[in-house]
Amino acid sequence: MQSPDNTAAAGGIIPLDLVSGSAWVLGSVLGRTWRFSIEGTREIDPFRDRDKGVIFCFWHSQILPLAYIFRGVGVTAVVSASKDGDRATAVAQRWNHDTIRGSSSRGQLAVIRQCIRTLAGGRNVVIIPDGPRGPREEVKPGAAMIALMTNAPVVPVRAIPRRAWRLNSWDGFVIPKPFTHITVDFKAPLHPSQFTEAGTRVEQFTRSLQEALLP
Amino acid sequence: MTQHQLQWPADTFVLVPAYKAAAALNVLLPKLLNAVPASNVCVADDGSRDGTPQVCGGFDVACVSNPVNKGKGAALEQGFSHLMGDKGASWIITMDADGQHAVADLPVFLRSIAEMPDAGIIAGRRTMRPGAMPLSRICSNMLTSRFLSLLTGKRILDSQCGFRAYSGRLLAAAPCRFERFEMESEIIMRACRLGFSVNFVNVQTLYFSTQSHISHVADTLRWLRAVITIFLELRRTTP
Repeated sequence: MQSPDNTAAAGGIIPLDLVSGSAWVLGSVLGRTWRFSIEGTREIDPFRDRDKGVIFCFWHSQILPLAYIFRGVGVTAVVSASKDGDRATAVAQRWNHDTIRGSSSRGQLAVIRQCIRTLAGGRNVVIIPDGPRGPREEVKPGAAMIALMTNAPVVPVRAIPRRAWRLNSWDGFVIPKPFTHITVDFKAPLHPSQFTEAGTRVEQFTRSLQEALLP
Repeated sequence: MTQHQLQWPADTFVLVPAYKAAAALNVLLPKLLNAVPASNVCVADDGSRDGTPQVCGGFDVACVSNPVNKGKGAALEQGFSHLMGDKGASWIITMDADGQHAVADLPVFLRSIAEMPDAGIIAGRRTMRPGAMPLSRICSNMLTSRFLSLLTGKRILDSQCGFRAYSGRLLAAAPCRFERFEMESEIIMRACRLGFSVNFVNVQTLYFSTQSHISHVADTLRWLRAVITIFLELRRTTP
């Protein structure tokens, strides 16, 4: 019953298929044309402080621009253990990210354990709180629970492109248009010590994260 | 005033592992729901074919199912996974489906959780005297508890009681390998090795003429093999 190491690294590099290959090429080409400006907190700088063990959270719809901007930083992202997750992992690996495979609906406890180990090792973790299947923009409690267990701060992040296509998918997946400007807003970190009321800490934390991620 | 009215903590859940226990759940769940909100109760069905999910649905209680019968440990793991991943559980109280554990004892666990928020396990300690428990059970409980105490170096007062509160921090830190009832001893051993405290609270034991899924000799031998395996593994892998 002991869960095996479920990082993608343990399974090796996943080959690109037609869909993931297209996404990788499209993302890499489009990404080169995007211009980014970073706003918000300076308390945690994800591009400098690389050994603090922080949890970044953003909506599923904003994966493309944020995975692209984080590509040089190398974060460990929770990716679903599905065919779509394989494709996302294949792209993420080519942008220097590690992945933890699983989700709130498959292998949750193994994912939580792996996230805790990753954070304890000083690596940053990305959790998509409305993934992998929604409901859209509704935070699930996993990120809050992991933060409370590890005492790691959670940084809500939003990508706001000036011009973008929005797909007709469950999450309204956002593809920023070429040459557009994208504001990446790092919100103030939510620290576990802010949530003290016994019995409702996870609930309070989840609610605060929901509020921070909404416009 | 019911315990329900005493306010149940939002992050504490009751998990009932169940195998072929539809009839027993029909008795247990109404009592349980008098004390605990339905949203804080989950049944982990271990591949029963007796309509357990339908019984749970009738009471508006969540049910997670293993597709085939794997064992109590696997059912518990499935339930832990659901309650921590989907519900954000900080504490999970497990109680058997067969009605051996008294709903009236739940406040004892809640009080202990409030008093010992950093504990790993708060386990029920049953009354081990003839009349309250079958003699064979008393003997096997005493022997296994003593043996586990010897292996862990901690005083384990009841190694077999399934009425327990597990902290989410422990469950996240201690993946178990055994899928049957040995898992309940394994997690005590892992908790002790990881430095979590294992505390005991006195609980009632209600013995009825319910069908037990335990085969004494075979299961005791399997238990013995499991705890020795875990003991050797922990000695080898942790400083």
